[in-house]
Amino acid sequence: MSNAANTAGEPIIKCVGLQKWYGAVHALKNVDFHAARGEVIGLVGDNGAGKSTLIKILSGVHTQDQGDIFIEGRSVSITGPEVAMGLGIETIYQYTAMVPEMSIAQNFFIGREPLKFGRPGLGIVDRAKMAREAMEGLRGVGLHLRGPDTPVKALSGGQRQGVAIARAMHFRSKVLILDEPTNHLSVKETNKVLDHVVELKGLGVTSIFISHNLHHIHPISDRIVAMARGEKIADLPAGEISVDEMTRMIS
Amino acid sequence: MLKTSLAVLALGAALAVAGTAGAADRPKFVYLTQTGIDNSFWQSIKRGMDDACAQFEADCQLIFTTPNGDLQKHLQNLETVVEQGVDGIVTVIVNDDLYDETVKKAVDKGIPVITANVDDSQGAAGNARNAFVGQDLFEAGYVLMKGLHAKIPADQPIHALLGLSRPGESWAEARIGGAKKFLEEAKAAEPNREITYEVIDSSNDISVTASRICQYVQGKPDTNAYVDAGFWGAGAGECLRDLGIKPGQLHMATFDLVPVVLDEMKKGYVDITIDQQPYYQGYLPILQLAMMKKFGLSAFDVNTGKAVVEPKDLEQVEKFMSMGIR
Amino acid sequence: MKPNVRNLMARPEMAALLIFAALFVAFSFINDRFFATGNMTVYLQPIPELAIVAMGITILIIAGEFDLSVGSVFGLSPMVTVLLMQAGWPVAVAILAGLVLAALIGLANGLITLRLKIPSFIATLGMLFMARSLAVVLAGGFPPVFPRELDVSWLVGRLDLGLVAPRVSLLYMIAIALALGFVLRRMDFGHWIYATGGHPQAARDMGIKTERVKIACFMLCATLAGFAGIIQSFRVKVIVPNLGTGLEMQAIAAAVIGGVALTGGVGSILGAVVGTLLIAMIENILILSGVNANWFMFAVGAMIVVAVVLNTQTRLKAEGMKG
Repeated sequence: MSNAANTAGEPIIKCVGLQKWYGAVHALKNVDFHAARGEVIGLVGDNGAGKSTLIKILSGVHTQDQGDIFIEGRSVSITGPEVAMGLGIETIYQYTAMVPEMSIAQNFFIGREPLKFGRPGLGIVDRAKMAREAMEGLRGVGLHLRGPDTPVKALSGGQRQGVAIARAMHFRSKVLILDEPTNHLSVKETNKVLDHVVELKGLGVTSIFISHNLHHIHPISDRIVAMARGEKIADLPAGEISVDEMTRMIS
Repeated sequence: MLKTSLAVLALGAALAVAGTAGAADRPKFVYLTQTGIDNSFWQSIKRGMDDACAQFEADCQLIFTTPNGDLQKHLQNLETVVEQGVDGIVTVIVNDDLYDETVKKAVDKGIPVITANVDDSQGAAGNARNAFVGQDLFEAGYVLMKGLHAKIPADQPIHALLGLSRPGESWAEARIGGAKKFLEEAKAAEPNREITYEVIDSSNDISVTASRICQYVQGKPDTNAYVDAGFWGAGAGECLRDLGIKPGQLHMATFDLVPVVLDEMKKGYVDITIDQQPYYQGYLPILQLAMMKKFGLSAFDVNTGKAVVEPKDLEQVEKFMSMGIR
Repeated sequence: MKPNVRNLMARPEMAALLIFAALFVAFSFINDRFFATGNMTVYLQPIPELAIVAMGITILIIAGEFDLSVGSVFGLSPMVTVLLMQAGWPVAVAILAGLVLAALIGLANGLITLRLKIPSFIATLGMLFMARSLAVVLAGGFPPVFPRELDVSWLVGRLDLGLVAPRVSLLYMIAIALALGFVLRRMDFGHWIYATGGHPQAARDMGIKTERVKIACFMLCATLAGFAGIIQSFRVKVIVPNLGTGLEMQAIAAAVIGGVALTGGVGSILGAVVGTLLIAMIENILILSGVNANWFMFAVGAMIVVAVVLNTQTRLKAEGMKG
């Protein structure tokens, strides 16, 4: 199901010479990375390969020690998650970044609530707008859930990831990072997530998909980027490599 | 699970009902203290109170304050009882101003109030209570310090440590105040003798008191006299022995007759104690309130605290202690 | 059961509210001295002081942290205020100084916990002793005398409402409760507090500055405790160094009865107020019923456990029911 690498032009995201140390551990060694609009990149590698680190830098959880990042050609400094989100980079976490006791609508907008009045941090929340737009967003990804006030803990793992994806979509993500999102999901739920990624591709959203399950990644990816011991060891169209070859490469 | 919880709640409510089902024509007296229920001294007072109530066929309730020493809570309890309307109130007064308004309200409402154990430092002039039954605290502290002074040879200096068990509470301040007064007088009377003293917060938790005293003595080994504002200082006997301090090196004076005090007296670490006769403090106020209610008699002050106890008195005292009386 | 009613039942403070209402009605019938004007007036007197502390600590626990030093701050703020008044400072400024000190202690609690990375339980336990000791030191052996002729009616004067005569401080409590409730429910900062306590990792990953949120809550909690202490000191017109000793336990008990989860992310202002009212009511009833002194503490403790169990059971049942 992989498509040929599409629309030429400036990559939507480009990293040059990224270096990161955690204490004495050299987690990223001079890594270059790029992705085009609407591309699906399968990021693979064993534990400790550095893919998590790369992702964390892009989503703003950590900052690189050396190297530059360009979004749509502009040099940026991603100092925190809110900066990444402001640049259109949304992350779907393995653990689903949702607060279980809070409602769907509240989680949908958590951290960037629409305000009726005031400034962020001192603002009165527009609850009606939140409820309306959350439900709209959910419908947009084919999720029909009880109501915006349902606490997230009442949802299944797959439904939560669905909400996370709907959330990312709502905030017009240009780049969607999926960090092992299907690890705890059933087969059916996993397929749904993969379908979403393909749909988003059609809408021009770039996806960077990390997974241990090479069978999941291969079919939907345009390109495969493989990492090992902090370095990029391969970067090629998915069509040019098989799952078996991928497995051998990263072990 | 839900059913069990409801059952327990019903039981609680039943307890609440049970309390109110007292005989209608028995007088109701309430005794309040600011201390917590873990104070063993008050069990003697309760014994006196219970005996008096049985004798005079009255319903008595003793209310401790939780948490220990929360004066505002004590006041709150007092106010609740005054509003309730009882036949007589006995209470401790550990602060000169806090209770004035409420006690006056009680007296104006026709509820007699007797203070026990600790009184307003200005006595009847400072508070509307009908009478005080208890020890003259200041005098007691003075007498104790005097007793210790007599035990130390005239050619030796006096380095005294005064243990203020609850800073800010008037009973503790008064007792230590009495001891201080004696020391100041001694300094004036014996200008060539080295007499020094220090006051510390010694706590009214016996293990904490013991630890503080021993640490002080470790730092100042020439300390030869200690006066506690209560009985807790006796707890230091154990750690003093661990420090190698022999009987007679550090002369201790405490208040009250509790087992740990007598024990240390026998071992030679406590030289004197003063019994404030808690049984009287429980018994006499109830007697007065019962007489006032029945015959309209008036209240009268009683100084219960002049019984100085030294090792020679131990045998006799112990007999009554085992009965829970002293 | 309709989803709205079910959602209502699942709210943390609902069970406490029901228990409170049920017991209130029951006691009024069982003991005719309970629902009397005089008793109700006395009962309501210390409520504002306790409830304000409970509200502050509720918010902090929702954010995922603890403050065991509230009792000590409760005693230290009024001590500072009274000493300043004695030194000739005007009342308003003295009170402000007491509140600023409380806020600074809250800030210290927050910084020690978050920067030095030790559990707030421990950090504030240390502050409990340090702040209490400060109060004792400032009092210098003999507590300062409260200026008895000072006009305190604006803060704790009696309001004659006919049926009951509560203190003006009750109005302050209601105003604070409404304001804090509004922040928690209707403001974005309130959502951030729930998120920070409910799932700190998620909150951070979604861009919330959880450290700032927590420090704000530490400061709020301490300032409220200081204010409550000033109210109590002004009401009884006395200041002693051990004012508020043991209050932290009462405040946490009230918060927990009111539905707060000690793990964070769950709780409400209404719950804090109801929890306070419930504990005070149980104590009041025990006194009126002549319960034997030695069983007093047992009864209070048992009632607390029962209230929380019922609270949890009702919530679980409500959540388990189909919408």
